Order: sequence, then C-alpha cells, then structure tokens
Amino acid sequence: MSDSSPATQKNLLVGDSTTPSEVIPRPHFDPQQFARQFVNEQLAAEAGTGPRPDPSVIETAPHPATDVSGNGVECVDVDLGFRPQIHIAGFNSALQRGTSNGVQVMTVPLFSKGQPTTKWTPYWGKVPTFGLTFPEGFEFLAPKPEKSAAGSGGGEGNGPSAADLIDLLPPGALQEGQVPAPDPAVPERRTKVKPPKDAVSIEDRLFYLLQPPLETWLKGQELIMPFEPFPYQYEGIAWLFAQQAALLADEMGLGKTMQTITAMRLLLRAGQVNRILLVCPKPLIPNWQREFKAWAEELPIVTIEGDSNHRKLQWTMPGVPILLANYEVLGRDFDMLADDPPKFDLLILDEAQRIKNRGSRTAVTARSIPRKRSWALTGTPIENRPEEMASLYEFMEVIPESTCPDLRQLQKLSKSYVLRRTKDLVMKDLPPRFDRDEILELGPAQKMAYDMAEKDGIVQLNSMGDSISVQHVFELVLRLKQITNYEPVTGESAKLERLEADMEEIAASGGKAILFSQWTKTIGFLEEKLARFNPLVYHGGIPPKKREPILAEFKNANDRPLLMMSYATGAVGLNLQFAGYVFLFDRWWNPAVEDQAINRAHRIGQKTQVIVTKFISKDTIEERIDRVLSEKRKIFAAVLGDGDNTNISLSLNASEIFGLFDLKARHGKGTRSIAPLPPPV
Amino acid sequence: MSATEKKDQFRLGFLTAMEVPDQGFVGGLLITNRHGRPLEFQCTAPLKPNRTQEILYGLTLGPYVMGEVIARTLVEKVGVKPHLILTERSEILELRNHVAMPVGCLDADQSEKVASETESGFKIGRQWFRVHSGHTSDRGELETQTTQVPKDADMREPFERVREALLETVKNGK
Repeated sequence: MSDSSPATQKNLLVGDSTTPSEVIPRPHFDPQQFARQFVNEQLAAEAGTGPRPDPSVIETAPHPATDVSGNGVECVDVDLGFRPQIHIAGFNSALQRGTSNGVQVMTVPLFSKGQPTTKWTPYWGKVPTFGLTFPEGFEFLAPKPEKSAAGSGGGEGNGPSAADLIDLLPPGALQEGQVPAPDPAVPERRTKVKPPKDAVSIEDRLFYLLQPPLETWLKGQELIMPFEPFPYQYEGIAWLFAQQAALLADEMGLGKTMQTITAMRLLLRAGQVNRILLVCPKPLIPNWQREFKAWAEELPIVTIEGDSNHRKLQWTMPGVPILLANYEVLGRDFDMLADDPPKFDLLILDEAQRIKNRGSRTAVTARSIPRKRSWALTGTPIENRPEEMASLYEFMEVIPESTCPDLRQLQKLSKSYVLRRTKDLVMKDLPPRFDRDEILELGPAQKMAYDMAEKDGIVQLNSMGDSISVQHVFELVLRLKQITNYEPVTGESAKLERLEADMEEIAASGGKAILFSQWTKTIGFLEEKLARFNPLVYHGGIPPKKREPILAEFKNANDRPLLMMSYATGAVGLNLQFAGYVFLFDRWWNPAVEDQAINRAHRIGQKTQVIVTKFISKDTIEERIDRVLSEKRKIFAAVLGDGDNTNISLSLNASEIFGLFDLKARHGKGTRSIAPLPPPV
Repeated sequence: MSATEKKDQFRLGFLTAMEVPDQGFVGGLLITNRHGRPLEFQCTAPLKPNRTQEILYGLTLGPYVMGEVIARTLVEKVGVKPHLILTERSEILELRNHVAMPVGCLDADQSEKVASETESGFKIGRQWFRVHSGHTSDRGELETQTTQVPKDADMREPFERVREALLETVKNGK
C-alpha cells in the first residue's frame, strides 16, 4: 500500500475544500531518488561547493505538485520522531543492530488510528405529508344546454326562460343581478372564499382556501347562472358560503334572495350541507319559489303545506335538500314534532325581524330547531331598538342565551357576523330616487271632521286620567289618520284629488305607479274613485293564488297603470322594477317599512328614476308623526356602521305616541301631563 | 355510464413546490375535476436539507428535492388519482421519469407561436404547456384528454390556490 511510505506522512495536504472536483493529486515520492539527492548534497557541502546541511534535519523541497503557490495547498513539516543518518556508503545506520551509536529503534505511528474514509449515500427520510379530501356533495341534473348562454342576457331556449321566471320585468329590461357584458380590457375579477374568522382548524381553513374563485365556479362552467351577478353579490355569496352564523342585512333590492340561493347551491354542491330549511312570511313563498326556479333550477325544493298529516310527512321525507316553510307553519308543526324534531344543516330565516322579540313563540321555535348553520336575512335588522339585534344573535348562537350585549358589543358582533351594503355604497349606477313630501291642506269637510274628531278624542282621553293606555291614544291616532285620507261621509279627499292629477299624467305617458296604504278600506275607496284608471288591487284579502296573476297583469297590461297595495302584503319581497312612481297615500309608523315598500320599485333592474310621493296632511297628526320620526335617524347607523343613511328604522314608542297630543289630567285645581305607565317590573 | 358522468370523472392534478425561507421546501398537489372544483389536497411538511446535502447536491438540490422527493411522495400519497399532472415548475417535470401518467409543465413563454411550433407544446384552457422532452408522446394523450377542460379555463389559478394553501400550512406548522 503506497500510503505506508513515511514520506506520505511528511507531506500532508491540507486544503479548504473536500469536494471531489477539488481533490489534488497525491505527489509521487521516490525514496531512492531522495537518498541520492541527499548524498549528492552532502558531498557538495564537504567539497565546499554547497551549503552544509544539518544532518539531523531533512528538509524536503516542495514537490512541484504540492507547491503552495496558487492553489491553496501548503506543506507542513512533521517531526518523524527519529533522525535517520545515511552514511556515505549508502546504508542507513538506523538499520544496524545494536546501539553502538546511541540510536534507538522505535515504532513510529504512521497513521492516526480511526480515521474513517468519508462515505455518503443519498438518503432522504420519509417526507411527512398532510392531506384533505373534499366531500362529494350533491350531484343534480345537468343544466339544460340551452341555458349555457348564461351571462349574455338570456334564456332563449325551449323551456321557460329565466326572463320569464325571475321576476316581472318589461321585455328587454335589465334583470336583477344582470350586468352588461364584461369589457375585455378590464382585468379579470376573482372573488375568493375566505376562511371565516372563527375557523381554527387547518382542515377548515384549507377547505375554504382551496375553493375556486366564485367567478370560475359559477360562470358558465359547472353551475350555470342565468345572469352575471354584480361584484358585491359575488362577495356576499363568498361570505355566506363560509359563515356558520350570518346576518345578511343588505338594503332592500340588492339581491339578498339571489345571494342566498347561490350560496345554498354552492354549499350543497360542495357537500357542506345536505338539508336546508328556509322560513319566510307566507306571502313570500311564491316569490322564493320563483327565484329558486330562476337561479337554481336544478335544486329540488319542497314547500311545507297541506294538512297536518301531509306536512308531517313532508318534514320527515328523506332526500329533500331544501324545505320551504312559512313562520306560521313552523310554529304549529314544531310543537307537533317536538319529540323528534327534524334536523337541518342550515336554517335560514327570511325577514328575520320576525324574531326580534326574543320571547315570542316564533323566536323560541326558531332557536329550538336543531341545526348546524344559522343565517338570518333582513333589510331592517333594527326596527325599533338596537336590542332587537340581540335576538338575532341569539338565534345565530353567537351570544349566550338571554344575554344583553351593550352597544359596543353589538358593534363588535356586527363586524363578524353582519354583512350590510346599501345602495349608496354598491349601486352607484342605480337610477336616482326622488322623494317629495306633498303637504296638502285638508278640504273643508275633511278639516271640520278632523278637528271635531281630534277635539272629542282629546277630551275623552283627558277624562280617563291615569287609566289611559297607549292603545287608547293609538285608536285616536288611527281615527285621525283615516280622516286625513278621506272624509267618510262626503268622500272628500285632498290626497285623492292630488293623486288623480298625478295619475292622469302617468297614465298618459305610459308609466306605471304603485300606491301603498295602511288600510284595505282606503284601497277600496280609491279603487272606486279611480275606476277610470282601471287599477289593480293587492292586499291580504286577495287569495294567494290570485296574487301572482295580478302582478303579471300589472306588468304586462298597458291599460293597468296603477297597482294599489297594503303595506302589510305588498311591502316585502316583490320585484316591481318597472314601476317608476310610488305613492305613500298614508304614512306607516316605521320608515323602515316605508322604505321596503318604496324598494319594490327602486331596486336592481330599475332603468328610470323613481319618484316617491309621500302625502302628508298639513296641521294634522301626520305632520306630527313625520316630525318625530325624522328626529330619530341615528341609532341604526350607530349599530350597523357608517354609510347607512338611507334606513331609519325606529318607530314610535309609547312616550312618543302620548306626545302626539297635549294630554292633561286634572290635578287639584290645575292639570298635569299624562304619560304612559312604566312597564311592569 | 353517461358521457357526462365520464366527463365529470376526469381529474387533473396541480402540483407545485416552493422554498419557504428558513423552513425548507414544501410541495402541494391539488386534485380537481375538470371545472377546477377540489377533490383532494396533499401537501408535505417543510423539508430542510442538511449541510451535507446542500454541499453534495449543489445546484441540483432544488430540482432534486422538488422534482423527485416531494413530487413523487405527493403522487404516491394522493388517494384520488389524477389522469394527468400539471405543474408550473420546470424542475417538477422530471417527475415524469418516475410516474406512469403524463406530466405537463406550464410554459414560461406563453407565446402561442413558440409553443405550437415545439414538439412538446400543447394547450389546456387558456394556457400553453409542454411535456418532458423524453416523453413527447404524452402530448397527443394530453391533447385528447384535456378537451374536457373548458377552453376559457385559467390553468394558472389552481396553482395560486396550492401556493396559498402551502403558506397556510407552513404558518400553522403542519
């Protein structure tokens, strides 16, 4: 083995790199040549022709291959531990036996023991992985091929087109949720589903992060949409999709229905929910059915109706992904099914202000339904007091039972669980709405009847003293309001006169108007007086089966320019974007309800400005009510945030109703003001 | 089985890997249906080579770790097997030598002229891909299979999802 040469040990190579490419060749060493060279040098020294070397030291000239210059290799001297003496004769005295010259033979450790040869085999340990499998989800019937023209405006297929189904719009009008074809120059928009704040586990977060952008999911690929949603609607859908608890409180007319249906559709497709219960007021059932057909035709829905046995069967029927029920049915049937209530993955309450009273039967029933997700939909989450939000939060299971969050806590909860957009914020292209208050003088007969009724009423109330209740005052208010509409004996009505004048113009121009009143009796009165305009009537007294044809006729018939509705029946859920005029014949107690009524016309799809006329009789109770309500425009925005300047949702409380009249009871020799009794403790 | 059902069973795998500072290499594989809806996701824990590996692999370290160690592991691990693998990193194209399914790499140069003139270029959705130079026969197979992918599909987008998910897992210490 060549490495056993002592000289090898002498010439150790020390470098700063051990990579194979930088290995320097081992220098060749010939001992015989070395001996010859050494003897020659000794001889030269003795002859005086060269330096005399110290015989005790062997100085080794650098080998050419190990030259330090240039390649970072240096030679170091190593003491071999013996002194070789080489005689001129050419033999090494160290090899002599005996110790005549004092040299001792000793073993020299030529190698350091245990220097292993470096060996490395490529080895990569097992790579830890983490996996997530996505649920299968519902598979529905494939959409009809003719509907693949989605986004281009319209359903020109063999079956009923979306334009026929979605709502009552004039031909060619922009439908709800529809936008013009996108401009190719505009960058592609992507709405991503974000994990909700309360999603902690990595599985949950990845589930949402890995979903495709909604535009990809919905636009003509897997789930056909009849119309391209607006960007804010995409955001609403993405938000709902990820929420366990949600209050979608968009202002009326921004498409809460469509956003909810689409979010439900995606959840079903993604396997996140299998069974959904949607509860809404009874008059809105046909509206939801129509919207389901327009936006998610493939989703099977069952409306809970019929006798109790039939309904029981419907509640327990397996394989139905979506059940549609009204609040009354819900209250009745969950008593019946109390022993084994049906369970749902998602419970949605439409017009959720119906549960604003936490102790009401509807609220209690809604909270008792076993469910995994709870969504509430309403354009007016606060109608009277901020505390009403607490009832919604309790339904959504984000606050403990019966707790009362303060204003600061409500604001904090709103950030996590409420999504509210207003038209001002998102619908900058929506045609404007012009409100005009028509302050009208009562006619002579009306004025006389009004003054007399008010005077008598106040005297009567004053005589009741402290036994007076809100109900008593309320009755007087109603009586006076009715007289401001028309005088019952003579039929005189300043409002009617003004309305007739306006309707002449509207009918002549081919426009359409909707009128709201608190009383069906007033609507009946107007129907008779306005017979030449061939008005249509829509209120609670009309059987539900006849209601849809009325709306269709109003939309399609050119000779039906006026639809008269009651607030209670017509103010919610209807799409009447083709009407450019709204008359509030009398004022509702709550501006939020008035706004709902106005937004039947002023909503997505409206192409022209909407003129809203509010009739207010001068020097009457109507003016006083209007003044009180207009002073209460801050609480809504305080709870739900800025930018909410269109909804004032605070109706009159008991003190304010009492304050409409200067009521005084006898008190000794004088009088004192009568106030409502404090609520029982 | 109807044609629609067959179509819906077509699955794509979007595989990418990245080096996270101070953490090492991570990779993710997202299996989707032809519309991009997720079916399964697999990712690796951060893989940090030691000093010896860094020295001995030199410049080949990244390609080796991503293309062979991570990519192979993910393909072997995934339960819902894809019909093809797409990647955005050329290093991962090497995976083709270790798996029996076609692998396509998003072409850095998305020029239609350049891509269509090469032997290995092909189009899926709106993007151009190329196959491994040693497996040019994959091109024909991929072109046939990917006719089921909508023509307006953005094939870059799923990789964004995978990267986002990888960062989320690293952040969560998975």
